[in-house]
Parts: sequence; C-alpha cells; structure tokens
Amino acid sequence: MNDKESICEEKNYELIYYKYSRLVHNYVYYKCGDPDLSRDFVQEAFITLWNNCSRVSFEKAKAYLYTLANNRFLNHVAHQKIRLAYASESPAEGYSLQSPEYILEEKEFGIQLQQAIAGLTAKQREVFLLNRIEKKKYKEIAQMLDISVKAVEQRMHSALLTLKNSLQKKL
Amino acid sequence: MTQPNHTDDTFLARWLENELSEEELLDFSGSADYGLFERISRKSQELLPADFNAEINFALLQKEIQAIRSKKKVRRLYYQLAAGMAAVLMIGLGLLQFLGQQAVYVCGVGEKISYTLPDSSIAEMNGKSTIKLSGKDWKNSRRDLELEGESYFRVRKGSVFTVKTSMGTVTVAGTQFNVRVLKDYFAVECYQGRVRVQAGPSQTLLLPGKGIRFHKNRMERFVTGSPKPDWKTGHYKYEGIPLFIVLNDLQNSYKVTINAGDIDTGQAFSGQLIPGNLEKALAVICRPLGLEYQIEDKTVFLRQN
Repeated sequence: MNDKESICEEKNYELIYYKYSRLVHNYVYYKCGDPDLSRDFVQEAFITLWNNCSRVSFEKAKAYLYTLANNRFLNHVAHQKIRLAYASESPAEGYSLQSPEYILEEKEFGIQLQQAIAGLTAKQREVFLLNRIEKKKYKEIAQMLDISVKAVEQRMHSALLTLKNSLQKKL
Repeated sequence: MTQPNHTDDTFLARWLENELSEEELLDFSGSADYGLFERISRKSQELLPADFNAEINFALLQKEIQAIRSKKKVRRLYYQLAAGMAAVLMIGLGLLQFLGQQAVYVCGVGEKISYTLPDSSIAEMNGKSTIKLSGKDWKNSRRDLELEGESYFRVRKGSVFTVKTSMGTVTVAGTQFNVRVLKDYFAVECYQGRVRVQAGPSQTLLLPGKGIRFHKNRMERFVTGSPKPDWKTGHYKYEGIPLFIVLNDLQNSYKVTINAGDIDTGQAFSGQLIPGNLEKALAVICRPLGLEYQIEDKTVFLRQN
C-alpha cells in the first residue's frame, strides 16, 4: 500500500472502519460491559480519527483507535447500569420443562449477577467476561492484554471472590 | 469443610478451568460457598457476546461527520418558515433551495409542512425533518431521495421511488406510506399499495395496514390500526416505544423543548400522548417510568425520581 495514501480519502476511511470498528468495539465492550457505551466510544474514536486524518498513517491507525477508545473508557464515570443480556432470555424456544418459580428465580439471579459484574473493576471484568463469554483461555487472555498468565489468574480469582461476596449479600 | 486457602490467590481461577487436583476439588466442593460459585460459573456463560453492526454504525457515523462539516456552511442556505406557526398544512409549490444539483425541503420542530415534489408526488413532513432529492431530472428518471426525520408520502405512479435514511431504505412504485427515522429508531408504515423496506441485511414487504420498526438491533412488525399515521390524527398510542420517540412527538405537539438530562431515553414506554393538556400528557408519561417534570416557560425538565 502506498505510504502516501491518506485516511482523509473516503474510501480509505471506510476501509479502516470496516476493518477495525468491530475489534475496537469488542475491546471496550468487555471492559465496560455496556453495549451502548462501547458503541459510543467506537463512534467517537472514529470521529476523532476523521478530524485528525491527515496526521495518522495507515500503519498507526489501529493503535490510534485503540488508544482513543481506551481513553474514553478511562475517562468515563461508571454508572453501573444493567446492560448485559442473557442468551436464555430470548423468546422461548418451544416448550419449557421448568417451573415458573424456577424461571423467575433464574431471571432474578441473572439480574443480580449483572449488577455484581458492574461492580467489578475494569481489570477484573475484562478477564472474567473474556473467559466466560468469548471462552478464551487464560493464556490467550494474557496475550491479548499483554500481561502474565499469573496476573490473569489473579484477576479471575479476585473477580470470582468479589462476585460471590456481592451476591451473598443479596441472596 | 475447608475454605479455599487464603494465600492462594489463583485458586478460583484454576478451579474455573478445571485445573485443580482431585483432592483440591473434593475439598472445595464440600465448602459452603461452592454452590454459589457453581451458579456464577454457569450463569455467566449465558451472557451474550458483543454484537456490533458495522454497516448501520458506519451509516450513522457518516451522518455525524457530514453534520459537523456542513454545520457552518449550510445554516444560511435553508429557508425557514416563520417560527411560531401553528400546525399549518401548506400544499403547493414547495420551497426549493438548490445546493448544486440537489433540491432540499425542510421542516422545523412542531411544524407540519406539505411539499409537492417535481413529479407531483406529495411529501407531508412532520417536525424537524429534511428531504434531499438526488440526481438530475428527478421526475423522469429514478426518484431517489434522502430523509431525516419524518414524512408521510403520497407517491404518484411512475418510476421506482426510493427513500433513503441512515437506518434503511424504503422502495415503492406508487403508494402512500409513512417513514420515520430518529437516532437509532426507524419505522415505516404502509397505508396503500406495497412498500419494500430494507435495513441492514433484512428485507420486508409491507402491505396496507402494516408497519415495521427497527431500534438498536431489534426488529418488530406491527399493525397500524388506523388509516393515517398518529401524527396526522393527533392520537398517539405507544406500545414498547423508546422514550425519545414519545418525547419527540410531545415536542412537536406542544411546541416545547424537552431537557431529559441523564435519563435513559432509550427505555420503553407504553401508553398514550394526551392532546390539549401538557401537564396531563407529562403526568401520563412520567408516572409509570418514575420521572418528575418541571415546566419553565417553553422548556420541560425531566428528572429521575
């Protein structure tokens, strides 16, 4: 690719968007656990990229976007709203063998778990969600976040402990 | 029953990934907290992963960028009708402004304006809306236009008539339908003929009396239940509609500005918008959602209870 190709050109900007937007989004999503927020952060990052398009080269674009999104996340004050959704709560797949009481109790537990997850630190939450939702092993997470496997395990351990303590108070 | 070793700060992590020895696992499973940990492990796996629709979001992004670019240039070019006008229907030759090759029609908050397009089709616009015609010789070739806001269209039979919005595209041959787009909410109602709606990967054909709405990543089909859209009859009824849509209708009906502060305006509201009495209308909206309102002159402030 030509060194002089500019991100200010619409087709190049669009290319970059389709290449990185989802990656950047998922990166922030697991940090904040809020789909609306993560979407906003991505959009803002790309607007900033557009405003600085002449100053950022193609090679630097990815790192630039990650940094922008991360900064927005760090500056944002956590509202601790319930945002994550469960697969099991989508419209019922046919006949359910569970009692209404059980279903209700499950739903309540789900909500409390969301609140507890919102109460984790970003570091704990990141590791926890990447393992639980994306099914990443600790080794993979360590590489993604550029930390040691031991650090990942420590964060996961403290996340589980925090969640347990938080949920115990409510139940 | 033993508690997990307090100096081992990775114990739970190893348990989660089945890396404990048989003895450790047996020990742990006897502890009082074990059941809760199991439950956390199981339930958390049901959480939905990130779901990012690049197409829809790119369209929205382009709109924002264009808005930033043109904010300064275009402000003077739009010909605004006098403010403080009551709901007036003006049928007749539209007010055209030419920006290069494009004809632009504009409507403001609280206004209802009817424009006749070059092909004699009629666009009845409601509230803050803009229509831009694309292409040369519009009436004889493809009839493409871009819409922001809301408009009811009466389309003359002719070439394919296409309404493009940031959230999707509506295509008809000759018919009557209503299109509304605001933030990430997109709704189309068919009143006559057939209307094709495309949003992201989904395509739907609407028959008279049917509608479809998109909000975030959800799509919902519905029955219109009335021969005209709500904004034309003045009877607004909502079932699970995002609050910002209801507030938008309230602004248009009562010609007030709403300041919703920190409130989550994406939350769903079911009920109606009472006409003719602002206080009653606000009460009906605020009570079920636990909100408080305060009217100051022409502005309404909303707050969470």
